[in-house]
Amino acid sequence: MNTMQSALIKKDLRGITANKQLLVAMISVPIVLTVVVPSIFIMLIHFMPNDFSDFDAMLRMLPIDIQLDNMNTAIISLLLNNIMPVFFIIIPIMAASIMAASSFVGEKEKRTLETLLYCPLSLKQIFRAKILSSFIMSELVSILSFTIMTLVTQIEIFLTTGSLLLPNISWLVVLLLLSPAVSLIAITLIVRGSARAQTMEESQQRSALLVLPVIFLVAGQFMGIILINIWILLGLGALLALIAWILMNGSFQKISYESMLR
Amino acid sequence: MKDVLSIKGLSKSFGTQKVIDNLDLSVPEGTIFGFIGQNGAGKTTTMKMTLGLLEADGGEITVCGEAVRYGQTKNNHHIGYLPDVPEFYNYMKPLEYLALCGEIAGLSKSNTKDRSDELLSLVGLNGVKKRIGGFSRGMKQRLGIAQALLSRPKLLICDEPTSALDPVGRKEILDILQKIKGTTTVIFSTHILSDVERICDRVAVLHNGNIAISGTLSEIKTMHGKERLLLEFSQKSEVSQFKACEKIKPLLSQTEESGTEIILQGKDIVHIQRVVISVLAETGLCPSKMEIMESSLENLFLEVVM
Repeated sequence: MNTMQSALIKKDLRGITANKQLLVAMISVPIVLTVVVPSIFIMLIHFMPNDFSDFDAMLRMLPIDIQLDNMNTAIISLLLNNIMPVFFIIIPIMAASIMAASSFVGEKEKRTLETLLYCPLSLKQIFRAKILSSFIMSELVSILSFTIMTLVTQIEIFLTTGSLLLPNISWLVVLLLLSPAVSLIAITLIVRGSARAQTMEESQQRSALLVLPVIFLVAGQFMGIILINIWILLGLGALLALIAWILMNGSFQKISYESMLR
Repeated sequence: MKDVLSIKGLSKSFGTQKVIDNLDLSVPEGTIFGFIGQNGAGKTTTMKMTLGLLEADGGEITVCGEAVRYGQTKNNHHIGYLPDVPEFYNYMKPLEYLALCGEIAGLSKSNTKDRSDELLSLVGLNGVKKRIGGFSRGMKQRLGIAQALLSRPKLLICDEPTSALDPVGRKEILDILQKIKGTTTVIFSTHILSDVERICDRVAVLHNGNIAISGTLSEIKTMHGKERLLLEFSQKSEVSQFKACEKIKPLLSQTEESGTEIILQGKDIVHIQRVVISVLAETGLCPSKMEIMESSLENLFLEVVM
């Protein structure tokens, strides 16, 4: 990484913060997923403590010791450590997609990429810098979202139950393995499609498909088909990291000066 | 005079369409070189190949003696490039944008700052504090020149820089290009021929993928130009009477006629003048106007491309 690439990364990061439309999307989705959704769940559990019929399928999959303990706490723990991590994966996918689409196809669309292409950096160096800026932004949004979610939910849990219920080790796997892996996959899909895509929306549609498996996982949990635990997260993380690595290595073959100038 | 840019046997096709066909071109150092051609003639394609952004099918390009290779933009430190409609990051201010360009080009911060001040002054944007998003097209074009000149290139390639501008904007750009003439060689691609006549030392006309004519403006006019004699009569019948004369008939193969005007042209204007005067004397016809028209670049260009 040289100073020329660092300049590009700084420029890309600033480009997102300077664009109100993208910034609103980048902030609002994490707020909904990490503040609004868990808050609604916690309030529902607090104000309707005896109605757990919606969680029946999941509760049956919980270990016996947890089920026997305080039901309110068990449900909140289920929410915080089993459901939220899956919801959370949408955040890096979304952040990486917005950033990468803006950085690659957005510059192509606005014709600002042309100036970068004839600078003394190679195409690979330019693209590496852009991949890195998208990855940094995605990770930054993920970590900030997690921090805000933890603060808000802990305050709410303390106010409703009188004690704290800290996130378990699953979150470490999400933040250190799953989030970076899905970010890279989303970025790579956009890089691979950037030669053909002419608009940002067009390129974002590709990575939006990544959200589908996440929705299946959430639905699977509610239907009692699967309960996301640390081993599933670890396995999923390792698989996604492998896919990200393979996709990343092949992505540079898809781009050329000619295709980017089209 | 040393050549800053040398192109030999360059070819490029898009699908089955041959855009550039065995093109030879050389641009001497210190000149403003007018690169003329119709829309779609291949001017931009040639420039993009010179920048290493398009792959040539054949031939070679050297800039300041260094061979240009597709996909290797290292040579571009010799070249500044101004696209027809330069686009910028609208949220930046001019100095910020030039600072970014300086960093990407590998210039030191102090060097970039000094050079930016100097260039913004050259293009008349010093002291402009507003964001680029609020710039007029002419201001953007001038900022584009400043950006292209930032790393002190030996060659500045301008791709139709005046095409989208009003007369004031055009004049500003042409004045700037004239100012930098001593320090930077300029390739000025355009189809606005009056701009070329105003500032270019040398000209090349690209047609059918190759250079149809090239040289200094005076060389081209001498070698390829035909002088023209305009005669204006007061009545149309006088034009018919004039044309009916036996002595005039051999000169009528290349005439332009509109209303009461007739323009005769040929390589030997003195001979044409003698014939016309003798015919006028014999017939008693008296034109209301008779003048020699200098051959313009536009006439030459039209002759080449039509």
